Amino acid sequence: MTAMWMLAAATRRDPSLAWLQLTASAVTTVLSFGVAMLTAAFLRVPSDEIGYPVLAIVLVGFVFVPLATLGTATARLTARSRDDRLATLRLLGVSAARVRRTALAEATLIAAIGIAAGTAVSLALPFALSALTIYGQPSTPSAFALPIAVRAVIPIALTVIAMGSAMAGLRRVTISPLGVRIRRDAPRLSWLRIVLGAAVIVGAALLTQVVSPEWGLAVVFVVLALAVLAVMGVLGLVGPWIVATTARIRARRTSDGARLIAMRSIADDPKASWRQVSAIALTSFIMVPAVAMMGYLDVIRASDSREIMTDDQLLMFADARTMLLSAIVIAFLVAGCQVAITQSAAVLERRELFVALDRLGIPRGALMRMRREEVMMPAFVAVAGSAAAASLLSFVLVLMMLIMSPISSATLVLLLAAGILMLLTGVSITRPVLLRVLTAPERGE
Amino acid sequence: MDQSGISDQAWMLRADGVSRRFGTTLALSDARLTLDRGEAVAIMGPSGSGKSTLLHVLAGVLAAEEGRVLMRPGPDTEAVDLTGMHDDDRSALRLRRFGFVFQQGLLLPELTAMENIVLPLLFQGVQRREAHRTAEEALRDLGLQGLGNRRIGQLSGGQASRVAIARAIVTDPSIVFADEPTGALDSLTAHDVLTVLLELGRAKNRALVIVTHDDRVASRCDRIVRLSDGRIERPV
Repeated sequence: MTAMWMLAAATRRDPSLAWLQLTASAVTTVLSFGVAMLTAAFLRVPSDEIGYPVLAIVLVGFVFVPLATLGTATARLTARSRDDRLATLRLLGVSAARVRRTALAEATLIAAIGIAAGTAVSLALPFALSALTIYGQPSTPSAFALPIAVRAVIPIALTVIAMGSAMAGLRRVTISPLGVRIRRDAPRLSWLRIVLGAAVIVGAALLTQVVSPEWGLAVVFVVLALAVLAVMGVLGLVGPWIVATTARIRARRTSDGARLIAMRSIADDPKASWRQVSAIALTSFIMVPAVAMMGYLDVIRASDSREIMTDDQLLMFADARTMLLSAIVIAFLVAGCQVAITQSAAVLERRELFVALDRLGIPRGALMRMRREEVMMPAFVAVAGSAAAASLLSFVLVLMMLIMSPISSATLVLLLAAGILMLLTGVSITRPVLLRVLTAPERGE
Repeated sequence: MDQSGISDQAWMLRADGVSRRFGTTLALSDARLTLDRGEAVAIMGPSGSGKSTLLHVLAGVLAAEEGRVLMRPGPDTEAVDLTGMHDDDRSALRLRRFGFVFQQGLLLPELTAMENIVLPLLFQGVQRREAHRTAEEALRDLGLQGLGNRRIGQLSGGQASRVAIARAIVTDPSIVFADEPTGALDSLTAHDVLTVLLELGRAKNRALVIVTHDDRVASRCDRIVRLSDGRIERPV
C-alpha cells in the first residue's frame, strides 16, 4: 500500500503525463470501436458482392497492428515514467515481485480509466459515423451497432494488451534496481536480412503476377494475403537493418551535433526506432496498391467500359473509397499518437542526459531537432521502403495508375507526405514534456 | 580590491547579493562571491545547503531572482550580466565560455569517447575534422590516447571521468564547473581525476568551481566557500 502511495504521489505532482497516457488509451479505444463499427456496417450490407466481407477483413487488418502497437506504447510509457521511483523502491528493499505488482497495478489502472472513458465516448460514434453513405444509402446509427459480446471484448482486450505491455516495459527495473544503461556496443544486424528480404519480395512479386482467377476466388485471396503478409514481415526484418546502416553512415559523416546523437541513438536500437514508425510503414505499404486500384477503377468508371461493372460493384467501389479514407485517417492518427507516446517515454527515460546537454549549453532548438531526426530518418526509410516494396508487388496496377491517372498518383504522394507530417506533429507535441524535464525543480536542487 | 580581497582587475565571475527560491524554500540567500582568473574554489556544505543551486546560478543554468551574476571573459573585456539574459543567450554563453563535469559523468553511452568530446565543438559549428583535431589534443592531455573509438561502456570509471573532463575543456572555456566530479570514484582514481582538473586549469589560467562533500578534494583548491541553509558562511 505504501509503495502504491509513493507512485500515486509522483502522479499527483506531475499529472500531465498521466493525462497523456489517459488520452492515448482513450484514443486507442475510440479508434478500435470505430473500426469495429465500420466492419459491422460493411458485413451488414445486403449485397451478394463478395467484396464487402473482404473490405471488412481488410479494414480490420489495416488498423489492427497500429492500434495494438499504440496500446503497447502507452502502457510502456506508464511503466517507464515511474522507473526512478520503482528503482528507489527496489533499493529500499521492496521485492522485485512487489515492485512489479505495484507498477503493473498503476499502469493497468491508468489504462483502464482511459479505456473506460474511450468506451463511453464510443457510444456517440454510431451517430457520427451515420454521416457516411454506405451501399449508396445514407446510413443510420443502427447500422453501426455492435453485438454486446464485441462491445465487452474490445475494452477487455485493450486492458489485457496494456497490462502485458506494462509488464514488458518493467523488465529493466525489476532486473536492476540501478536501472543504468550500460550497453557496451551497438548491436549489429546481419546483412543476411537484406538477402533474405530481397528474395521474399521478388518471390511474392512473381506470385502476384502468376496468380490466376482460374485457381478459384478463395485460393487467389489466400495467395495474395500470404504474399502481402510475407512482404510485411520482410519490412519488419529489413527495415531495422536499413535504418541502422543509414544511421551509421550519416553519423560518421556529419558535422552536426544534433544529427550525430540522433543517428547514434538509432544505430544503438534500430528495432525500437523501426517500431515507432511501423504503423506508417504498414499504412504506406497498403496505401500504394489501394490508391492505385481506386485510380484504375475511377478511370474505368469514367470511360465507355463502365458497363463491365454491375451496379453492386459500383456501389462497393464507392464504399471501398470510404473504407480506404477512414483507414488512412485512423492509421495516421495512430501513427502520430504512437510517436508522441514513444518520444515522451524516450525523454523521460533519458531525462538526466537531456538535462546534462542543456547545462552544457546545447540550445533547446537543437535538442528538438535531434529528436525530430530520430523519428524522421526511420520514417522516410519506412515510407519510401514500404511504397517501393508495394509498387514492386503490384507494379502493373501502379504502372497503370502512373500512366492513366495522374490525379491518383498525386493523391498518393500527398497522402504519403501527410503521413510524414503526422509523425512530425507527433514529435512536436512532445516539446512540453522536454521543457518540463529541463525546467523541473530538481535540476537546481 | 573588492570585499573578498581580490583585485578588481583580476575577477572573472562575480555574484552580488544573489538569491534563489524553489517554491517557498529559500535555496540561496544574498550570496556574494568573486572568482579570480585561474583560481580553484571548492563549495562545501551539508546536503540541501544550496551548493548545487549556487553552482547553477553562477553557471547561468538557473537565473538569480535577486542580485546579479557578472561574467568577464577577459581582463580588458566588458562584463556581461547573466541575470537579465534570455535562456537562449545563457545557453550560448555556457556552450562557449563554460565547461561542465557532472558526478555521474553523464556521457552519452551510444557515442564513442571521441564523439562525446567533440560534441560541444560540433554544437558551436566547428567542422568535424577540425573538432577531431582539437579533441585529439584533449585526449592526449588526459592520457586517453588510443581510446577515442571506444564506447563509454568499454572504459573504466576513471577513464570515463577523464572523457567527461576532456568534454568540459575541449572548447577552452574560461571557467569549469564541476558538481561532485569525484563522488562516484574510488579514492585513488578521485585523486588522479582531481589532479588532472587542477593542473589543466592552472596551465591555462582557467577558473574552477567544484561542489564537493570531500574535505580532501576541497583542501587541494585555492579557497573553500562554505554554505549553510542557503547562506555563504565564510567568504574567503
